[in-house]
Amino acid sequence: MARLALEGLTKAYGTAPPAVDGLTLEAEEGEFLALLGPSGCGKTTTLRMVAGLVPADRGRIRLGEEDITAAPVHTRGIGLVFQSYALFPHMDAVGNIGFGLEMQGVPKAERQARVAEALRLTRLEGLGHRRPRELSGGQQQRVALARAIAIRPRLLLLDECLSNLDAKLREEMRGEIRDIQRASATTALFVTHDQTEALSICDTVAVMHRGRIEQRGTPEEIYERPATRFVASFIGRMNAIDGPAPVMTREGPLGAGETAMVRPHRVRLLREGAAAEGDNAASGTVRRITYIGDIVQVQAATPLGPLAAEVSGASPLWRGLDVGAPVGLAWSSSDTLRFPA
Amino acid sequence: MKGALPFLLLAPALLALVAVFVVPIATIGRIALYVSEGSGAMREAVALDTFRTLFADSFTWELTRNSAHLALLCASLATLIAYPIALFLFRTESRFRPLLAILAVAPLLVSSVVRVVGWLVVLGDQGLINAALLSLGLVDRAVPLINNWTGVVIGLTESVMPYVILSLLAGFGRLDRTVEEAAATLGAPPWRVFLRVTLPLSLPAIALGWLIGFVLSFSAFVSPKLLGGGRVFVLATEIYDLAMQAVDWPAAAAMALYALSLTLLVLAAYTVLTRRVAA
Amino acid sequence: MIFRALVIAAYGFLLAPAIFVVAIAFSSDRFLTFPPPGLSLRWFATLFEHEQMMAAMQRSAILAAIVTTLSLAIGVPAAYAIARLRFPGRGAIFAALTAPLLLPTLVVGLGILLVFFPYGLAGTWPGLALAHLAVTLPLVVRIMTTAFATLPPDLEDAAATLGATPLKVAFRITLPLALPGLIAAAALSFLISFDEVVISLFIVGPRLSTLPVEMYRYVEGHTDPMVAALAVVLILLSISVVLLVERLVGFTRTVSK
Ligand SMILES: Nc1ncnc2c1ncn2[C@@H]1O[C@H](COP(=O)(O)OP(=O)(O)O)[C@@H](O)[C@H]1O
Ligand SMILES: [Mg+2]
Repeated sequence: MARLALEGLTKAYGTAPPAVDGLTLEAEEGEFLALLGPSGCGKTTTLRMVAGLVPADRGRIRLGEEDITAAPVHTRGIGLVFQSYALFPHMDAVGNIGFGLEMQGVPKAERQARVAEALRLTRLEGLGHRRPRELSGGQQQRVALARAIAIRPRLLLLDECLSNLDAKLREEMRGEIRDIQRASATTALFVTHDQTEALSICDTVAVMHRGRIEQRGTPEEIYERPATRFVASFIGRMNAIDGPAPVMTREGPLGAGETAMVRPHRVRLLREGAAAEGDNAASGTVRRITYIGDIVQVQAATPLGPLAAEVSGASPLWRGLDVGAPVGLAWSSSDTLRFPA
Repeated sequence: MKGALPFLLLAPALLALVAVFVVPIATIGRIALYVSEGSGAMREAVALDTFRTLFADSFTWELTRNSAHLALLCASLATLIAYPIALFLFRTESRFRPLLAILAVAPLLVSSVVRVVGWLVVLGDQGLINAALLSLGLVDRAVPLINNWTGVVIGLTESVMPYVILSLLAGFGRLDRTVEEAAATLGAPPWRVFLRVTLPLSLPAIALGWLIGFVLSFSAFVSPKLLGGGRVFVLATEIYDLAMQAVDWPAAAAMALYALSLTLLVLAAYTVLTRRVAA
Repeated sequence: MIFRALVIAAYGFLLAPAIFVVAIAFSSDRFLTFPPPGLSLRWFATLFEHEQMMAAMQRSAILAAIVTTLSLAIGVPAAYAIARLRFPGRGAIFAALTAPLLLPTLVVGLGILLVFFPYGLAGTWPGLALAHLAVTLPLVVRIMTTAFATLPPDLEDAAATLGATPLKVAFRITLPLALPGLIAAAALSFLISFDEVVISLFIVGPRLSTLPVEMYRYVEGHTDPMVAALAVVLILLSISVVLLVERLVGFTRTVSK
């Protein structure tokens, strides 16, 4: 349980552009921080540097008061849950979970008690004597988690550890991981490329792109006030309008070399003839109507380019609307962001 | 410290390699340049006398022809006989597959001398085959199947077969059952599927298997020596006799170097050819 | 159908010597006559009373045990380095260490004689053991490199994050997981050394000869069913080793992809 600070962390494999490029990031004590970014942006490399499995080319890693940049892996006391789980196939669940305690030289009696505790926390009671291959994917995932928390790590790292589970189980496990992390008050770094996962369970989200952090903030900040164009387009759905165009944004009118962005659910759909409200409007024809769960997305071709609006499935607005029908779209400048293109 | 670890782990193996492989091969090269003085004595020198004698002797060319002939024959026969086994092992889903795979390479797990004894039992004058032929009245005197080329070819073919099977299996990687199935759905009867799809796709494997068979037969010693009954002369038997009977080390070394160069030449030719075909 | 018949015939050819040598070993006749005129165990009795053969068998077993231990002790660390560590020249070192498998054993044997003889190593235990390394070490390196290279990813890293020192990782994770390969490598090295004849022929001495060499010399001189009995004993030994390994780890997994 300690504060984690990464300062200018850099790692390049061979001659390729650095996988992690001057990354700076802090996680407060007990914070559950998501590291969110597309595949290949350097998330795993970052975690492996923090764990000590990959030496950093440059930069510092501080855990609590200690600089651990050069500390050997086995001395760091950091729990890592691998994407592949990396369970030891030649040991049963108890053997896997107790391994770290054994390495620390915890006496047998205490070890057994702590393994039992970890089994209970991860709801694995009764499965302790199964080998990994005798466990389901979800159970293996729990053993991996139990193994990492059993050593009472100063920091818990989770690398896309839910991505091998099916959708339903994944949702269930999210909640459990959150509960376990909260109960132990362990600082945790949760790596994922799934924004729903990141936004739904973490205190704070750091969005990563090309080896750097683009923005760090609460899920709401990230969603409502994206700091860069990348964050805006990576998180949630977004309409983009390239300038110059007659569009008003939060920061003023849209000029050349700039892009305006507005979320589809902030765009109102107007039937033909209805008066446009709001300070931005466009008219066009319907190109496609798509159901996304209980909302409906209407895509239209307009003089500003393709634009989408989202309405509730229950709304009468889209009923009777067909491809090719004329529609109007309107949105407020206060919902419209502007970025350099 | 970190940089030294691979070296520390590798050092004993590399030292052993140098002691039992690099230095011995180099020594063969060195002693081939010595001058033999008869009855086991030799003089340190840097002379080509031994090679001159070696290449001037028509016996050397006969031995080369014999070795090449034998290797050609055994490699081809072994590939021919090993192919069905390898193809079968590659495809079968039988639960006995592991057992059958072991049986296919089993000859590797017993001494070559044991296998020679087995062939003596099968091919000898009073052996299985002659007993069968005689009792069927097909011949009226035992057909000599050992102590001649026939015995050597049979025994050597069998002894290189396991290696050929392993090479074929390794090379079958590209053979895809679904491609054969596609050909069948397009109306090809089984034998045409084999000729038009299976065989062409397994050609690289066949080439590799044949090469391994050739290289091994070319330098084989035990089968030619024991099944040839002293009547079959190849480079390998001659090298041994020169070293151990005549105790003419320079001559043995020169001939060993010559045989080794031929082997390397074949391996190099194969590499060049497969590169060219692949390109 | 034709294919099946071909397969059976090919297996028949491959296994014929082993099958018929067993039959003849129980012959009561003085020659390798087929079919045996009568059955008896007399040739096994003769074999077990043949002091020279029995002594050679014992020596070969001891030698094979020494060679196996040495090849594993030297080959396993090398294979580990090649498979799991990153350093320049990895591929070349692997090729060099396995190259002896490709070149004629007879030539290697002659070379070893030429080197060992002046040092008085021919006909000695250290000499024989070292010489056998020329065939067993490359094999161990090859098998173990594959075994280490195909270990599931991340396990060693996981152990390290849980506090295991590099040495503990090696003994608790890497070696146990590579055990099937290790056992297969040990068994093969034992059998190969025990059966090795070509290199041995060059460097055995009058007082230190191995079983395959004794057998080779015996076959050169006589052909009575005693060598068949000996052959049966050796075949049984190979079968027991294979069964033992199969029992321990599934040998079949290591020979059949
Ligand atoms: N061991 C490695 N060797 C070479 N390149 C690597 C290695 N690991 C990762 N990379 C490269 O570094 C980049 C970042 O990889 P990674 O950290 O795994 O990304 P993420 O976990 O975000 O998907 C990728 O381009 C990847 O190809
Ligand atoms: Mg990753």
